[in-house]
Amino acid sequence: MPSTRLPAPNSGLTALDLISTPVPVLPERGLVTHVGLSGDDPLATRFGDERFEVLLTSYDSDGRWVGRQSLGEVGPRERRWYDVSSLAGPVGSRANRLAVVHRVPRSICPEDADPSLAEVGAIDQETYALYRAVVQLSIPGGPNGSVVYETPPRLNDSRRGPRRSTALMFSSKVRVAPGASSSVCIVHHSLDPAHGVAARVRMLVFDEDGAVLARDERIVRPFTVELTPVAKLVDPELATRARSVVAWSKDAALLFLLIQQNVDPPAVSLEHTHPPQTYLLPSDLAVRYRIKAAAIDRWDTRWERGS
Amino acid sequence: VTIVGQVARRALHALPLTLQDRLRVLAGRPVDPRFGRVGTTLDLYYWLVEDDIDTLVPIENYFSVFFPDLDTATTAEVRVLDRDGKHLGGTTVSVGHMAVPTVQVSSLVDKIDRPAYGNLTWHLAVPEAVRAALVEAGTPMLFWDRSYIGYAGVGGVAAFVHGVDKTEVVTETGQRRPWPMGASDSFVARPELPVRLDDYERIDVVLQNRALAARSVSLTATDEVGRVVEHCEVIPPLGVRRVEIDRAWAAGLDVGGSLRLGIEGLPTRFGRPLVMKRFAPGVFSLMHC
Repeated sequence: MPSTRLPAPNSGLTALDLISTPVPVLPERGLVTHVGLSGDDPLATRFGDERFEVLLTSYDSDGRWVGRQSLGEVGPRERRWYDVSSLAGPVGSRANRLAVVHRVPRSICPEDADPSLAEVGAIDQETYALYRAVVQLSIPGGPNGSVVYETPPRLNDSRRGPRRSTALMFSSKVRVAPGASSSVCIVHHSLDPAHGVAARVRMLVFDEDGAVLARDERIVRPFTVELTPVAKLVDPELATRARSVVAWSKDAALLFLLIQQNVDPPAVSLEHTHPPQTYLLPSDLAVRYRIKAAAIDRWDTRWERGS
Repeated sequence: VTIVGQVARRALHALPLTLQDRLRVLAGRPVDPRFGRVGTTLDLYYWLVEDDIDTLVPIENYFSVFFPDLDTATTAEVRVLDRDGKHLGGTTVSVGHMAVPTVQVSSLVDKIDRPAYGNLTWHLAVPEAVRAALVEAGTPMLFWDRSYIGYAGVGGVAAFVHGVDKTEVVTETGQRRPWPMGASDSFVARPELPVRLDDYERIDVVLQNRALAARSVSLTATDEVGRVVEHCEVIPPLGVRRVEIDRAWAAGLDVGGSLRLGIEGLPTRFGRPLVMKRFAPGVFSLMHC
């Protein structure tokens, strides 16, 4: 397989990315990643006879494209689990990295066509909305946790014109206790294979009363995942008081997962976060993006002031 | 254009709420003027209290995130319902700027027999400074509290999951209105999760009725050769039912492979079920399907 990133094949969305999910592979935390796929429409109203080719794109821990492989097909009334930790290269890597699972509808891209070159229209994007993948993290021989999500439309994709991508995340899913920890998993993916913007991410950890317990700043490179245990950011004497996080980036849209791990008894669970604009239902939808952008600017200003 | 717009708006307001709501969503304008200039919509959350599990309600002041320079201190009202949607208890808590006070559900329902489960909502009031800023800017806004509920097990085990779809709207004047849904709305869900009973002791499928009328809901599990087990429930208004799937429940199915679930009769399309995987007493994880 080629070891360099593929060039952008065209200016639009391809069949490869029509239904895809970026997936964290996290061997550094001793976790195994599986992906569960369905051949059915989750809403049971569309594409009753559709079959999908399943493809897996792998990256190394530096975000370099490693390869893409076919994992066969999933069709109507079928469910499949895929051991992504084993399948996603490079072989033997013990570093956290990104993989992307794709479902390519056969009706859009026949078997002999290259899905990374088959451009699809806006209608296809809309009509395949809400096809999601189950992402499961498990402790070998032990419990597992899972979540379901998909790649947001046009994620960090500026091929069809300049587009400011940003991120604002907040979450109350933080608990730190002896033997138990919450981690923030940042997934930096793009539908543009040539996406090369590294994202500066700033994060604040708060206690129950809203006081800042810790600050963190890091660069998350494209096509990588970054896992930050909250306990490592906070003074050990205060760590159990951690209750929430706010994180933002002015450089890229990012997916954030919150992962809970427990040592004794062993347990793991995870949940996605909602994009902030989904909390806002204004009469003018453009307002939600203005509020989000203003909030990011204010948080950044406060950060620069040290408050 | 203005006159045409006014006529269209009046015509829209004359429509039944559910149809009106749909048209507004289609038009990309989801705020209904009857909810007021600034309101909130609430999700429905599942709670359970058992010997080894308690439910945590972490009330995050998300207004602070959007308006970090405003005084966003406010209050939250937690309402706990039993599995039949009947009021069980509740509390009101102060929520400071960027604060996340956490309510343990066991403290609100201490008089009931365990194990128990039900639904709950919480309403985080729009802070006055936020309301005033939006009104001054002429920006009608319905906030959607898409928050998370937590579950605490043994030895520090914890898991969080988001709420299930819009259930109720609290208007600017504090009136509570059900989220618009049709009396006959009845959706089908085909969860993506491949259910593998070798991976856990059992899996609970949680079915919540967000409607103000009883709804008939069916749950099916189908094995890889097409054999089916079906379970039907009539769920009272704002009630919840939990179907506990283990090997005994799935007797007759080939559980060596993956089972697929099907749910019919849920009143809102995005109110798909919650599942809770049980690995041992007090050890679990959860997800929405």
